[in-house]
Amino acid sequence: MSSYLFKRIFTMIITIFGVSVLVFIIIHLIPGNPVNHILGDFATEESIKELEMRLGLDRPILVQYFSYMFQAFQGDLGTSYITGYTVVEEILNRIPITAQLALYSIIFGSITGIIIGVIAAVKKNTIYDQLAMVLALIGISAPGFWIALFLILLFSYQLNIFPISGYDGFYSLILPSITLGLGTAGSIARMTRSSMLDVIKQDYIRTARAKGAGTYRLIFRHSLQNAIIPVVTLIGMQFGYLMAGAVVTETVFALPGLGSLIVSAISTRDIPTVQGLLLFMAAMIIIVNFVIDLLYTKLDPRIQYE
Amino acid sequence: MNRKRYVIFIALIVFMLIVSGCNRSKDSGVNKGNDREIVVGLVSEPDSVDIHRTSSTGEANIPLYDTLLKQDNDGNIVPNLITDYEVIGDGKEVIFNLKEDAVFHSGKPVNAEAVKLSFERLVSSSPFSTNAGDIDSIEVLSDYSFKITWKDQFAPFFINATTPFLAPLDVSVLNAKGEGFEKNPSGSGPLKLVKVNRGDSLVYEPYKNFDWRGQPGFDSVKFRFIPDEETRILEFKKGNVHVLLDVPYQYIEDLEKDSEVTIKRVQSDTLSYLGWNNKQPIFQDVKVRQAIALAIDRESIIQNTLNGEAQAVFGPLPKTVFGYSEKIETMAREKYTRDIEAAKKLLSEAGWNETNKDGVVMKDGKEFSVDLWVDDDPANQRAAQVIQNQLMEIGMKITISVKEAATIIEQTPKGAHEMLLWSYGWPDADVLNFLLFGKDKSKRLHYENEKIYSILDKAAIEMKQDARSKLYEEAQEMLVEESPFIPLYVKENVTAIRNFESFEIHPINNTIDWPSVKVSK
Amino acid sequence: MKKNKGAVVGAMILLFFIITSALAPVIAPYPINEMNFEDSLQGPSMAHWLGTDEFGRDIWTRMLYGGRVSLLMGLFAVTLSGTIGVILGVLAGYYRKLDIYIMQFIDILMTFPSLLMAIAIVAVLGVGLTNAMIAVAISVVPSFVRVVRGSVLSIRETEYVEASRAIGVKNWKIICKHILPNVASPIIILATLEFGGSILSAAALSFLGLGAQPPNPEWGALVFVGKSFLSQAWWMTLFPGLAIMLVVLGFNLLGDGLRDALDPRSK
Repeated sequence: MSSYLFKRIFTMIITIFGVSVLVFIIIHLIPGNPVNHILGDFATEESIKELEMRLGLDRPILVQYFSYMFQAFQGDLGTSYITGYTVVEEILNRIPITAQLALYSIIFGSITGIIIGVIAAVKKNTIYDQLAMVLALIGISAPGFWIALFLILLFSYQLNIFPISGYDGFYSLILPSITLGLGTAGSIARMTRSSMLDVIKQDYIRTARAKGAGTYRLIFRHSLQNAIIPVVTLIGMQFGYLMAGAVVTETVFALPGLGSLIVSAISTRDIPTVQGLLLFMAAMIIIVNFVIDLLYTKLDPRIQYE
Repeated sequence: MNRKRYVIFIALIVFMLIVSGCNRSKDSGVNKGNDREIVVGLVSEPDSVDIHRTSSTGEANIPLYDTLLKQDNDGNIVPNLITDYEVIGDGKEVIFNLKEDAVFHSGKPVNAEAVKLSFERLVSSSPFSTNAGDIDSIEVLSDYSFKITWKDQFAPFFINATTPFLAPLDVSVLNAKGEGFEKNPSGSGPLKLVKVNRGDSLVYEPYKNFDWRGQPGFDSVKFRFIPDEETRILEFKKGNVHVLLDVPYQYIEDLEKDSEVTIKRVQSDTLSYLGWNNKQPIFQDVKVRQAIALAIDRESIIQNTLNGEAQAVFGPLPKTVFGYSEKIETMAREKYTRDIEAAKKLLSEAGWNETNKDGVVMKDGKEFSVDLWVDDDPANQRAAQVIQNQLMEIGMKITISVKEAATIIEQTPKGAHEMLLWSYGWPDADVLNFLLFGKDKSKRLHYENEKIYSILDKAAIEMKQDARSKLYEEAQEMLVEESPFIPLYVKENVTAIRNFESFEIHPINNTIDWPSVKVSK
Repeated sequence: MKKNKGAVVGAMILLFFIITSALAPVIAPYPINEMNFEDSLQGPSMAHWLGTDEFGRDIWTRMLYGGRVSLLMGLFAVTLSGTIGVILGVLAGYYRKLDIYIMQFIDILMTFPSLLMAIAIVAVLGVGLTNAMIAVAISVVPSFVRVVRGSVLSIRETEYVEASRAIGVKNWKIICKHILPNVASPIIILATLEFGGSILSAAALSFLGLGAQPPNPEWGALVFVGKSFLSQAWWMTLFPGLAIMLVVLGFNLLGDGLRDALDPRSK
């Protein structure tokens, strides 16, 4: 276990390092010099040189990279040239919203997904099963942005149940979480169904049944509990998907989270913000997956790593 | 073993719920106590409230500042923060006397020293520093009087000083590096910034030391940024937004049916134009440029994409701008009213006389095909499609490329574009010089014409207004003939409001006149 | 057998969209870009089955042409990413020395969720249909590499491959003759599933204004334009979105069916 942990941490560091290089390359490939953007139409040769020096953009690219990383490890991801805010400030301002959105989506997705999956597994090969699986597939196939528009029109505008846009506590995150969680719900429903079917086939369930355990007791006490393991992994894998989905969802619902920040930063060529955000999001995803991996071993002691 | 697994899973869920619960409590209770809160809905957040940093001014950062001079409702330049000014000698030196009771939001007086420091920061670091002219020195003469000396006469200064770009900013709130204004902003305008919710809203309150002509008619103003058109409309219809700026054109009729809603229209000073990179070989021939001008039907664009809420403009300057001439406008209107046959004739005279199977004109085996850049504003994208169809009628094939405004601003000075649908808004004809056609300053159009350079240079230093207008008229006459770009229209700025006793918008510069705003009981 | 019913339904949905898109110039009732201002924002009717847009253009016509764009975008993305994915996957799976480098690189790419990756790539390349396709393709590459590598690894250890190697058959011959044919089915299954996924990502990019440009009727772009008129002309948004959903659903159903039929492990 400890040698596995060591190896896992090692690859995690390598991956974060690689991600930082990749992000740095992508950022430097983005056309347009930030200095031109800051100084606008009336920049002179001199003022460009001076600002480049002030921002350290005249140094060799490797030097820029290492100084950036050195500061990043000290918790400084740079300062936006345009807004004057540090990237860390911006992230801290907005992360509660994105984190809640991701969390509620996962909760919504897991609960609906597990319920639908269990129904499908228990009623295997009936019309309920088929209906449940078609629903799950629709959840995966429907474009979130499109669903969101009609959810807003129906529930917020016509029925006046939810706020239309903006962030105002838990209530304002219900529709966005449903939008974002639909895909997750679909994937989890499918996974729950198939892993439950696997478990039901197994000997101890047959034994339990032979011993006269009731159906519901059987479902919850034995099958679901064991079937939950692959579902937890799936939830971990969904985290990255949710981060990306947040970009679209936050844009539609005008939520001031990380996703809408990255869209606006890209469109204003706010390079430090884009760079810091990409790095931060990637690091978050890597760390979450790492934690899920560890949880996985805790949840299922049968799992052994090389 | 089973139980242990179960406990961990449940613990995880509980932990998640607790974490989310903590975050929730934080945001409740804000603004609940304010009964006279105004919510203004606008498209995008200003990149900065620091007037020396921002690339664009808007309703959400302008009220932080009060200007040295201002335009009255008829467009005359009148004193505001200053009581008077005196032009000395040949006009290179001007002495300004400040009002003595103006105070920054920080409580510090707006005195000569403060204004001098603000100008120095502007000159050293603002992207718009050229609007102050080429300043040689600023001298504090007494507590409330200072003198600016320019290297050359700079006639546009007085009108430029009515824009917030030249408004005094309180430099005492800056840190040692001269930054940090956005954390602790202080101007001398009607609204004081009290809360910044990045990405969501800016909250202001009326500044008590501002001259409110009585009592402020509201307790706070929240500018909410809602990028999506549809969402913005729905929020207004539902009553969550009281002032809707830039009402999407397709919804104006709809809102007019609502008796609680008042629609305010002010003609903007921003001229939309169809321009191109005049250095591109395809646009070298004046006949081609005139043909494009003749192919455009402004009314059709206005009726079908802007719901009729715009005025067609044919000459280079719109009506509200100093330097506008009725004569030029009439001349341009007569010359370029849509005439497809005349346009086709000009094109074929220019050598574009074959037509391929798609109906595109050809010259030397090459088809007339250009790329049109447009920003991501939905109304502009619609206009671009109508223009595309109109130009296709004379056989010009247009491909539309949507670019972010930042990209257009950055790429056009390098000449990376062919055609673009863009706009400019500036209260003075000097814009022809510093942005459109000046020597090495033709950022978007890349037009070169020595005669026009020399006229524009002369006009910039001509201190007599009559002589100055004459020079601009001369320049505009040449521009109409040469057709290096096509002025299209000035849009009506449409604002929808509900529940106000009174609410005025300045007819010239289009900003909300906050002292006039009174919320209904 | 039951599953294959799904696959048949999926295939039928796809067939419908492929045929109508292919025949767009023949069956479209109106010219695609013809503006007819008197008819703007008309609801569904006999003259305009799915209504008209803000310029009076027929939505049904535009969707037929838009289907060509959306389906071709998916095809392009899957072909490009599949090709790159197969090459890298085979290299990683067959030449074990390369494995660690390639997979580390893929792990790094995998860290970025595909849509986020695509947005970053569009930021570099610029907004537009072609760039959006490339961005989507690149973001799908890692899943192909993983699947191909896994299959190659298992085949590599089989007796006939080891035997071929022992008698000195050249590596590229082994790859072409034994490995590639055997990894074909997982590739086909994944390609089918990713086809739908790519259409969805491309539509999301267009919806953010980063993909197809007006007046291109790509389905995501139609939803993007339609949302400006949502409360007065719901048909502009509803139908293109429905088309995206159905096509993606079709690919998912077909992919599931193929998996059941081709992948022995899932039985």
